[in-house]
Amino acid sequence: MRIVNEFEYARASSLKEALSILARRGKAAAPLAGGTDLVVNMKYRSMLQLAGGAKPPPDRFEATKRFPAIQHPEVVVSLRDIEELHGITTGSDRVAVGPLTTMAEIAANEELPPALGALRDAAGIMGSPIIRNRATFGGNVINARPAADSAVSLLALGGRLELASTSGRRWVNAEDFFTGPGTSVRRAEELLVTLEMPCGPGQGSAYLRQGTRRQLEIALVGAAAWVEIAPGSGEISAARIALGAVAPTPVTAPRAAQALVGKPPDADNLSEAARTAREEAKPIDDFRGSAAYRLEVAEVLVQRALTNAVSRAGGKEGQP
Amino acid sequence: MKHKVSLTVNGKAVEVSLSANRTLAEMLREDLRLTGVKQGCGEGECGACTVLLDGKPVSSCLVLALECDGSKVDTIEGLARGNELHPLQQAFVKHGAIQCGFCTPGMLMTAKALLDNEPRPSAERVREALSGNLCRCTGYQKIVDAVVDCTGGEKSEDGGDK
Repeated sequence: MRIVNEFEYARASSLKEALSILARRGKAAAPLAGGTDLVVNMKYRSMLQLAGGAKPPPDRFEATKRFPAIQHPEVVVSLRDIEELHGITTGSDRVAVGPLTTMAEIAANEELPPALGALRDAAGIMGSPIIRNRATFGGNVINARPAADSAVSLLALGGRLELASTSGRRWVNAEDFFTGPGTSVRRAEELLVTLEMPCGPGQGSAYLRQGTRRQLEIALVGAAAWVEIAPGSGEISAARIALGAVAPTPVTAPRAAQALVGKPPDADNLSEAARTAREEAKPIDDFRGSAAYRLEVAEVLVQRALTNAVSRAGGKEGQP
Repeated sequence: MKHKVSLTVNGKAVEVSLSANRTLAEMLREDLRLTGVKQGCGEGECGACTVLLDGKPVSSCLVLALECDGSKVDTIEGLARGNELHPLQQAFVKHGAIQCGFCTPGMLMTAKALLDNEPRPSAERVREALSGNLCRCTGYQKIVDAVVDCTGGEKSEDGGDK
């Protein structure tokens, strides 16, 4: 499988240069991070083109729908040399991650606080070890797939995204970012420049995924949970729950999370929240699994993710 | 339009002129004739095309060749020292870890990267590290055995090259 179409390759030496290319070329430009999605999609497009409109197998067809906006990019904008898009900055109350940070780098980063456990979980199971050496956090989020492991974690962590263009910068909450499968509020001239997540003492989070295999899997259901435990009472003072592959976008389960606030993090309360989260999920039947099975799995995963999040908030390690 | 890309492949500096739509796997196989790099699925699922890019195993079918400008690439062709097989290669032979051989170059490169970073991984860790490399013949056990066999003090002389 090859990319048959030619395209321009613009290796941006600075953020300013990348933004000016995006401003000029808009939808004809595709920013390139790790390439583990973009290159595959360009190959799929080529295959469809070579097939002359013949109907490809369903899973392949599914994949060709990933980038509705980009048919064949006229210009691929390489971001590799833009230093400020790489790396992790850990502060006392927030962590900023450059979008080009690879999944492997995140998974291996032991400085990340327990509050961001869900992100490390997701980064450590997305794709395969080989893919994680190239795949980036920014790419996984910006592609806006409903099952994207790190996007589900970002939602549960209450993260936000900074988008930059030649006309300025803006912050978008992760909750407001995704608009549909493969679509987001990012405009064609904008580039994701930072992913930021809050953190603090007494906080813990976890992400778990169910699939038919452990590696190279796209979530049948993914669940992330984040909790904050009040120091005196030991009660849950804040919580967030997010689910993947149960709706057209990664989604939160706000009722389930809200119901935990003010309660002790015992097994009954966590199980109750998981049941509520199940009610909030709206999965579909597809070739990966049935909606009914997804609902069963969603409840189990939320319960386990909450349990792990609570133990991490208390300074202990979660169970995989 | 062609662009120039300069990189170090198996220790040798090379410069290739190619168009932007070519992948690292295509460049290695077609321009540099390093056909030990196998291309299986072409979409990052099988790991057959694994090479080391700046020391890390990557799917060369998903990396645009131009993205490797200034990088160091190691392929299976650079693993043996002259006529002497790398200890991992010897172990693969010893354990019968090769049947059709298509996955073997990728398996070996992933295993090399693992042992370069963690000289004594557990069998479980070996399985995890190799989980992005598919083999349709061996059932994996012999491959894991071969890699584990290389962790007991038989470290390759270039094992610490980082």
